[in-house]
Amino acid sequence: MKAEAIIHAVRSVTKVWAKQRKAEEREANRVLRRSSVLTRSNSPWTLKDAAESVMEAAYRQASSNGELPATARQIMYAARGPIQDLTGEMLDDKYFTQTLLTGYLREHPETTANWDVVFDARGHFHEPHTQLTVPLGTLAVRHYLAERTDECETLNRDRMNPPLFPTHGPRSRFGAILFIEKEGFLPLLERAQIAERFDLALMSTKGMSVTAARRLVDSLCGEFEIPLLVMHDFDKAGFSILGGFTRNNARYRFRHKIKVIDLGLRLADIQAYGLQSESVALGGAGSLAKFRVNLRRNGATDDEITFLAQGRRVELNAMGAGQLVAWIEGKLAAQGVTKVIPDADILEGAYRQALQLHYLQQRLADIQAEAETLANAVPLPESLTRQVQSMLEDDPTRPWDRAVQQIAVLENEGES
Amino acid sequence: MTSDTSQSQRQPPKAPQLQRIAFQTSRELDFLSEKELVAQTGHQRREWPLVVLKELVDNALDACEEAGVAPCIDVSVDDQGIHVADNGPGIPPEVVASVLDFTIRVSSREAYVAPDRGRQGNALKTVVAMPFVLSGEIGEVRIDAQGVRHEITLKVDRIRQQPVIDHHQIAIAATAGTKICVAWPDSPRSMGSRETQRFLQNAAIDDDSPWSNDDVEDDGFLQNDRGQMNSPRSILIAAKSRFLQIAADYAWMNPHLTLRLDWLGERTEFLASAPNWSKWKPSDPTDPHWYRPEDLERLIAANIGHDDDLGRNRTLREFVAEFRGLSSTAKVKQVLGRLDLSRAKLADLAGEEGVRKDRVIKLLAAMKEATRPVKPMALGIIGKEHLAACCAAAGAEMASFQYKRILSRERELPWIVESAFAWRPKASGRGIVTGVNWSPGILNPFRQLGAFAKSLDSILEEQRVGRDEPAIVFLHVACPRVNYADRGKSSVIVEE
Repeated sequence: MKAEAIIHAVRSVTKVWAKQRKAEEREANRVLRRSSVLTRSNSPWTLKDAAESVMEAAYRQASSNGELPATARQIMYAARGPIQDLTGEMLDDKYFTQTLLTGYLREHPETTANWDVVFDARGHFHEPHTQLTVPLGTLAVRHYLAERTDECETLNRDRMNPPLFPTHGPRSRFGAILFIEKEGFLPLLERAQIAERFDLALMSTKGMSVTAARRLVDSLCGEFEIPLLVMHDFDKAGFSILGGFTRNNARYRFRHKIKVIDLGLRLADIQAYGLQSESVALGGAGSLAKFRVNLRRNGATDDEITFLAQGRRVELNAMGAGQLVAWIEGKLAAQGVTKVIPDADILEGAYRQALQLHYLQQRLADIQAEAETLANAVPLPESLTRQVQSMLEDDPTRPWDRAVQQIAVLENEGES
Repeated sequence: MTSDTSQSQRQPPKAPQLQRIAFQTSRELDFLSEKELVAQTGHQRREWPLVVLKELVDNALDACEEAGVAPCIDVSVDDQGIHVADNGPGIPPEVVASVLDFTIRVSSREAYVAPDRGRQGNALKTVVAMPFVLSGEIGEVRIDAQGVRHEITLKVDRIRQQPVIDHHQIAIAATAGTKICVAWPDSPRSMGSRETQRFLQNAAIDDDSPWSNDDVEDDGFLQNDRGQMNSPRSILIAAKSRFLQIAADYAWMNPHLTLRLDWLGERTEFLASAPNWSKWKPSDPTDPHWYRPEDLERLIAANIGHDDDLGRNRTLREFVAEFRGLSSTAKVKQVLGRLDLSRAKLADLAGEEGVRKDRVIKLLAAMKEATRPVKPMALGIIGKEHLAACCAAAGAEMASFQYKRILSRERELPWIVESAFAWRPKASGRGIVTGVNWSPGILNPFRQLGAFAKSLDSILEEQRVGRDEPAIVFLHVACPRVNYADRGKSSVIVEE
């Protein structure tokens, strides 16, 4: 009789309980789900089966029969009641939106071909210089990618005072994307003006990269042939985040082969900077073997695996702010990341556009006093309020000031 | 000169000398001491009510199984003491008599390798001795079996320092089974006692009583006993919760058992979930594959000694035929023919130095070669359904019930591990039922699992099933050869 067999038997029967109690230790309100978790096997319906059976109806309900985009959480609210009725279990919203719904979309491509499902943003993308920030959610990324252009925009009369040469997307604006696995570093990087000094777009998520982030990277790095630079903690999750940009997964399949550069942290960084490690709980023998395989698959070296398998990890936060900025600068320089200088044609266009704008601004200044005198001399149209009301009734999407502009132009056409 | 002569002839006065006598002291009294009983049972005095329960119920179950009847056992504690009654064939009078010989150890288990509940070999003997040791003056046990009432009274001859055993046999109406009453000293109506105070009942009824379980600390023993912590009655009362728990544990491990419990009128009944449940019976022939050479050597030596006592000289053929798979003449012939021992007597295996190891090794190898090892399943599986029923009766949320069974063989020894778990939403703490070979442990027997200081408790802590968790855990191991760390079988040695 082997101790191993006895231990295995005891662990086997207490596995579900242990998982639940550990979840309760991490998050006190998980105790509310204890009953549903421990009694899960009682219902003939699994959560997945129940979700499959109600998903289509839930989407129809959430999207007004497919007329409007539906957020993942709206679909969850529509599906939750029926799923809980079928299974007798509490439905975890994250489990629904990130596993059940995405699984359904993947496994039923024909049914969901015309579905417009929107996932919440779980990170941000910042362009340098343009002040443009895109939340890493389905809709925002979709809009950003739709608007970005390969060509530089020509001067637009709606943009009479653009601060910069107008761009949208990488072309002539940024030469790489720096991905950071934590959102909290952005204020520091803004203060250090890393994005501006290196012409980098910054992207960050809360932990693992989301599908929207992958889609954005796939499109920008793939089509514009710019590299993705990845900054991550020195731990299993950090290596998984790195590996996530190099492989397809159940939720996203890359269309392009993108160049992913690992900035670290790596063991060499830890040794060079003398960074403090912290302990982390590892599983038993079986899970340790999987742990090693996972690390190797995501590019960790033997020495790194040995270090991490001792239950140690090092966060980017182990570096002080100044040390981190210096480290990033060193890494970017080592990778040859430099300022963007467009080709001669773009430079010529920008030069001429800048001059055009300069002349316009000079003329505008010259006629500003005359225009003010003319405008003050013109009598106000009768019942301006009623005309504004009438215009807004014709087009409720129009703002009142836009209506006033139109009335002013129409009333005085040919006068100037 | 005369005076000189007389002086030279005068002997110095002889100092008085003690001619020491080699007194003979009875070794029997050694057995009737607390120290010896603690050594024999592996349990301290405060655990003796539990030892009495365990040994008597183990014996009762074995007796019923050997007789092929579904066991119905009544366990009660009243103002006389502890009673255990079964529906087996009844202990024969000659066995009762042998129990009272404290110079020898009698066991039908010790030399065999089999999945038995007990292998101590002197269980009943210790039970008979306990009331005497507790009292310090007199111990009384009554056994009704096979139409005979045995009234056994133990006293001690303080002059001769030897026990005086009064064994009265009275013919009574024959009833099924065996009824044993262990008179607990200090009990108001224990035999030989004239106390009339019904303290036991009062203690059970009155929550404010000093004997109430509110005073019992975690280890289950009375602490606030007004200076009488070691008095027999306080020991018995303090053991109540563990006593009832262990009794109930038998029902968990024995699906064929109907068990009725009565603690001073507080009654509980566990009905058999499978009266026809089968397991390896104590009367089943043992498998040669379960023996190591040293085990077989021990069995042969015991048989030769026993035969010698009876003036018998049996053949080796008879001995070999007692093993599983070797009862047929052809098989025995095959085994012994190969060793050229067809006409040998069992005693021929012994030489001047005792049993000859070389012959034992060859014999065992031939016996194993001629037989197939028993499958683990044949030992007896308690089963998921029965344990589920037990968990349900214990207030478990049955949708949380988990069961795991592992059957395997290790160096020819089959074994079965069964474990179950369930959440008890209304419980204030953990319940744990552990046992080996269908017999619960007085203490958790899995206190060391392997060489790396793991224990069942540490595993349960890791799995978040600590003492305060509202859950119940069951763990049982069946195996023909179980190595214990102590004589009291309180801790199993489990290999890494």
